Amino acid sequence: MRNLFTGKISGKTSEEQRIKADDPVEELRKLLVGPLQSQFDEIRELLKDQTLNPEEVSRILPEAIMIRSSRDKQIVTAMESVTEEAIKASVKKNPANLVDTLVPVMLPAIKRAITSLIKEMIQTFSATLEHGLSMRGLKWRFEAFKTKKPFGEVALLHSLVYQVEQLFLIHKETGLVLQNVVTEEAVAQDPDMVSAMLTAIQDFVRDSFGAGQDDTLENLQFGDRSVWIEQSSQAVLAAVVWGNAPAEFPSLLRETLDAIHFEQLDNLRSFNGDTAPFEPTKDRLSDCLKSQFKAKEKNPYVLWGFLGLVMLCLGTWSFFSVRDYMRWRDYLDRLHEEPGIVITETEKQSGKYHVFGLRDTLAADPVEILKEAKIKPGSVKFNWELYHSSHPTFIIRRISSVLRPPETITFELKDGILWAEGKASHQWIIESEKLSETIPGILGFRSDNVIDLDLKQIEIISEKIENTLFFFDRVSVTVKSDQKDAVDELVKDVKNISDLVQIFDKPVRIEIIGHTDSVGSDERNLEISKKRADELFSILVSKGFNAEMFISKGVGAEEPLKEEISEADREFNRCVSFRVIIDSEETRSDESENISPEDRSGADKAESDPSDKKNGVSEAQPDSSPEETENEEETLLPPNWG
Amino acid sequence: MIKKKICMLGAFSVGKTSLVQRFVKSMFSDKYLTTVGVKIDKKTISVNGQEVNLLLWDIYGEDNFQKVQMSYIRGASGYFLVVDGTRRSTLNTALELRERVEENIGNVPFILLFNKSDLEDEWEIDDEIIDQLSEDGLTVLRTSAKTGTGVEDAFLLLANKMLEG
Ligand SMILES: Nc1nc2c(ncn2[C@@H]2O[C@H](COP(=O)(O)OP(=O)(O)O)[C@@H](O)[C@H]2O)c(=O)[nH]1
Ligand SMILES: [Mg+2]
Repeated sequence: MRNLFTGKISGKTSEEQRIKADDPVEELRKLLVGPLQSQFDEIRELLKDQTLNPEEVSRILPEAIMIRSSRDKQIVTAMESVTEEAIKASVKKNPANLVDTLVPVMLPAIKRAITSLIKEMIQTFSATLEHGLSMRGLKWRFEAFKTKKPFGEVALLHSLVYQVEQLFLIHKETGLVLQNVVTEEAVAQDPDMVSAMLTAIQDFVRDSFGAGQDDTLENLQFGDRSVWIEQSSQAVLAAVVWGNAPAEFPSLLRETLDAIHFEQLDNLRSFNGDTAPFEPTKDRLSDCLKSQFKAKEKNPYVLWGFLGLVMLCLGTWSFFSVRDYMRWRDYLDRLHEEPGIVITETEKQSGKYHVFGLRDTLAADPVEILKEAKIKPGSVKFNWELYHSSHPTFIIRRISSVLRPPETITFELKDGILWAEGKASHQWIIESEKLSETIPGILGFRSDNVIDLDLKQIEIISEKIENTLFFFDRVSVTVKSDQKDAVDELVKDVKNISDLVQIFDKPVRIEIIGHTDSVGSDERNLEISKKRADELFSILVSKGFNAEMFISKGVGAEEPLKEEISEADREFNRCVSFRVIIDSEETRSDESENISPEDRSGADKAESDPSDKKNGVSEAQPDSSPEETENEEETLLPPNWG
Repeated sequence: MIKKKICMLGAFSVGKTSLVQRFVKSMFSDKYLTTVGVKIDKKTISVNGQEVNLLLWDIYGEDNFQKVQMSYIRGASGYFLVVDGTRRSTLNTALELRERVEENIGNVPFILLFNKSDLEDEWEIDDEIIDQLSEDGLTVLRTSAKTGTGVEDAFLLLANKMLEG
């Protein structure tokens, strides 16, 4: 700084000296070039000033870069590390900025590139495989002939590498299913429950592993099946896939979800539980299901190689012992006949049999059959692809795994209708009727031939109660002391039946009917019979039963249980009997006619006119306590009455 | 079809699972996603002639070792705060849960259930406290998962509230 300053001062000083020295010349020069001199001085100043003027630089910089770039790569080289650093710094500060800028530009391009690549790949493969190998076509035809299956089905099974069985469109926030599609072949679970569970699992994973709101689980594996999940900010698309979905499957899901998200954005945002607006998405989802049957992707070279091996096998054929060959052939025949097993290829390679084919998980174990055929299990290698056999026994077993029937139930498929037969609890029958609606592959479910065990039990107990009688001495209204056990038994039965009918949500009522023998006046007989009924009524109520359950009535000698010829008959008729009334429309069990229409109307009558004194009927209201009755009895009644 | 998500919230062992079981009578009921801490059930009911599909999220009870995961309540249209009448502390848990729920999903219809009403002799919560809560504007019901008292009513009332709001 100081140098510069002094330098400038000394410069000026030497000029002044020069002006002073050559004054006349200077005068002349001023005259000649005076106007130019000041401009010249300016230029000289400018040249002397080494610092750049930003204003100036900004004017020429773009042009300078352009000129230089056209000449060589120096600028690029120079910018490279700076740009890198800058991007790094920006991402570190706020990654969203860069992502926001790049995603709209890049995503469609990336997607388009990948999609077309995949499409091309698939097309090439299908073309090669569909037309290139008529050998396989012939083989399948033979197999169709042997297994008596339609050719189309065999072909389909061979090409079935995977199947998208079910798709759920789920509202992200609530986890509720907006739409659901399912293939005919799959046994579907309740979509609402599956969806809610999936959502819960997602939430759990997110919470437990500390992932962010947008980090999501993409694939869950469940045995043969996997669940693929794609998410947008509003919706989740989940697919249940059997087998191995190809690598491009997620992008198909993604596209479908993107399209739905775009079309349904308003509905998704304002969703309040009503799924009706999402009806139109069904087509898109179904498209996803249908388009996922693909030709088996197999490298043609492998196939040609395989053909070569077949030739080799033929060549070495003669080396196999006839016995082994026969056993092996019998074994294969046996496998062919086995439901749920389809053999597509067999080969022998370095002393070992290789069996390729399809096998339902429910089918018999080929290794076990091997032992029966006296072939060493170690000499055979099985390569099974899993498939779902449409054999009725397998369909039934798959359904069984959903309906979980008790051992007493058997199923039969008739014309697409699933018939259940046997015995089961009421709960199971009701649940199965509900669940069966969600099972694809059957047209309906019939439980007509199922005996409802709970109902049956009710009938058995009803019958037992109705066969119970309590006997009385003449005129007495006290239960004979030797019938104490019968009272306990009755209490137990009434308890059981009132518990059981709760399952059906139907009230049970028990009519307590007092009887007398035919001796005495009708009026007194009615009175005594009513008191006898009331006695049982009081006993039952004292055991804690609700009085509403019982209808106590006396019929005197009007409904004798026996024709009175002897004293023994009269003794028998001095009793109390019961009638069980269940208000039920369920008449599944064969004996449910027990509760006949007459009984019902009888009960109705009793209810509608509780004060019907002529019949001695009163509803759930005994006239007096048992002790009083006893006293009255002794004092008021002539000895030959009752 | 209208679908709604309902959450069962409350301390451990207050009867959430039992209440759902009583209401749903379902054979799915044993499908508890134990690790995940949620059990899901479903029941279709009719509210003012309209079919409503209720998805019931029975969330593992709050105890000293495990907090209720708030992400499970996301998207719920309503919830129950279940209290065990025989354990005073469960009321505090319920009220704390309510605060946390409101922080997370805001004002959503809910009902405070005083369960185990069949054990009234052993109750630790006086009627006065319950009356006070009711006066404070909370919807309060007494239920018993054991006898079924009040259970159906509770679900219907909540469904009604959800459809109104
Ligand atoms: N007495 C009685 N016991 C109940 C009632 N509800 C539940 N319990 C019992 O309380 C215990 C805990 O119930 P649970 O439903 O598992 O509670 P959760 O942990 O809240 O799901 C169980 O032993 C139930 O049988 C009720 O209303 N009355
Ligand atoms: Mg529980």
